Amino acid sequence: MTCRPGDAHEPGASATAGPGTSGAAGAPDTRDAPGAPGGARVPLAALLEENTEDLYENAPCGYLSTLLDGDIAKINRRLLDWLGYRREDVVGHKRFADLLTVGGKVYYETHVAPLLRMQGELGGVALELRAADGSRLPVLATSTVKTGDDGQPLLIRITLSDARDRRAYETELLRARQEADRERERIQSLATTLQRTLLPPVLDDVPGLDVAAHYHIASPDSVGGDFYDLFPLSHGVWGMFLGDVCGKGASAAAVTSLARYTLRAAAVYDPDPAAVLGNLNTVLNHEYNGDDPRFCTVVFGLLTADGRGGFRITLAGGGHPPALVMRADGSADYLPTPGGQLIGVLPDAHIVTAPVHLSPGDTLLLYTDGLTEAHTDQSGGRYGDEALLDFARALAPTTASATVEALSGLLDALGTGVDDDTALLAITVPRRAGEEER
Amino acid sequence: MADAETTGTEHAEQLSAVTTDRDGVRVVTLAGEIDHHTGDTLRRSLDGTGVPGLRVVADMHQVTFMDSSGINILIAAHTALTEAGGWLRVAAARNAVKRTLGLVGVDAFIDCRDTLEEALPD
Repeated sequence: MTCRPGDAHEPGASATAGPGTSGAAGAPDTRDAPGAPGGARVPLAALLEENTEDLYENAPCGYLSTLLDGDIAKINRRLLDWLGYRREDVVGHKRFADLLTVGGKVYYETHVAPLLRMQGELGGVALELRAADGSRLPVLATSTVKTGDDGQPLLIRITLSDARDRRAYETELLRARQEADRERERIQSLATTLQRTLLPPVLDDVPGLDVAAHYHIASPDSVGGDFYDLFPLSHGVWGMFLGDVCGKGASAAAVTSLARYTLRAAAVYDPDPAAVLGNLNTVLNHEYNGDDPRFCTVVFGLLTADGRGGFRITLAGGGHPPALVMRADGSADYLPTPGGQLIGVLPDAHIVTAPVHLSPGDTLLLYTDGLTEAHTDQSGGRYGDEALLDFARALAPTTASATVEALSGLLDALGTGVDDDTALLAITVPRRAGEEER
Repeated sequence: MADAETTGTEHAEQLSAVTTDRDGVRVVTLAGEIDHHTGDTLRRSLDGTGVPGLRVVADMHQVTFMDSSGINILIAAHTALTEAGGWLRVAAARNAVKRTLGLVGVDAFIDCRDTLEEALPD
């Protein structure tokens, strides 16, 4: 786009005809018929602007020239139309700054004008014009200082482009961004809600047992596949489980949900821990044997009150990291279930059980590998099984709530190093009133 | 060794997979960590789509870590290759990786060998 008025026409030359002819209006328009009879080709000149004055007045942008003090010396028709002023209202009566909104005026006088004096030209300045009717018109201003032959500044020339489209674009951009932010919040809230449905809202109160659980979300954008529960089976008998579905997102969440409800139902059907995991294996193996196989690792425990204040527990392991027991005497150890296989891959997964007895003051911890596989440094270090065992040994003797509190503190301290969700479930047989710590 | 020919190399930030052909067996030499950031590299290197009867050895002697996402990929690859008449073997896993394979019980149905030579057919 050519937006430069001819030098010969300012100042005060608005009535002078341009050097061109009377314009293209009188020339026959043959552009639509290049192959018309007679074969007359369109002269190139007919396509060009011939009347510089007409171009100046009606160009698709606003022009004005001011004296060095800002008094408007010349203004084009386009800009007058935009503003709703008559030429005589403006030329010799207003300064350029008078055409701007209050904010624009301050900005022009404190920033634009000094820079312009220093540099001799300035482009891309966003300003807001105020029209005669008070409406506002966003424009982009480009200014140059015209100097005389002796190098002295004479005039300031200003070109104003209509920036309403740009403003609309910016508004649209802002709106899209706000929409994206809202969308992100919705997804996070959906993920959080979904996550909550995969976990028991509150764990049952088990007589004679203190229970604590924690779910650490690594990323608020996606649903993880960890799950746990603790529920009554019959008088004095409880079931508990904790597991981890390989993978993340909606399909993992579907398996998580299926696993949780299958485990609860299977435990009612046959509470033997190996049978419970065997039933889950059958269900998952049938359900997810397609192109996107999903498996889980689980530990299931059957808790029976022993009538002397303690609990007999049978743990069944399906490829899950070993449970940790922290004893009243301050010792701590893993309870491995070697040979147990992850659930859902094979038609008949091998499941291994191990007995454990909890006496008053003993604590059992189930966890998922988000904790042990957390990064501890930039060079690939992981938290690991040994560190967790050391941590447990330092904690013991302890309680379920103290264990979960200490470990959730550890997860927070590991920060972004924890890149998978982590579930924790701990139970303690509380000491009897008056019993001293051994 | 003389007929070993490098047929592909792939690098993720934390995992590289170099593929060579050893007498018709694809040997994938992995180095680094296998987790959900690098899983795609492992998945592609074990992919036998369109190659019926493909035999693959995943040489793990330079793998320092593998999590459950790696297990997922090994199982999927094992299933796909077996269905297509081929097989997957894991060779020379270090203790850290061996422990993960053993913990979830995958070593009971994916053939795991102590050395690359043992994993190659006679």
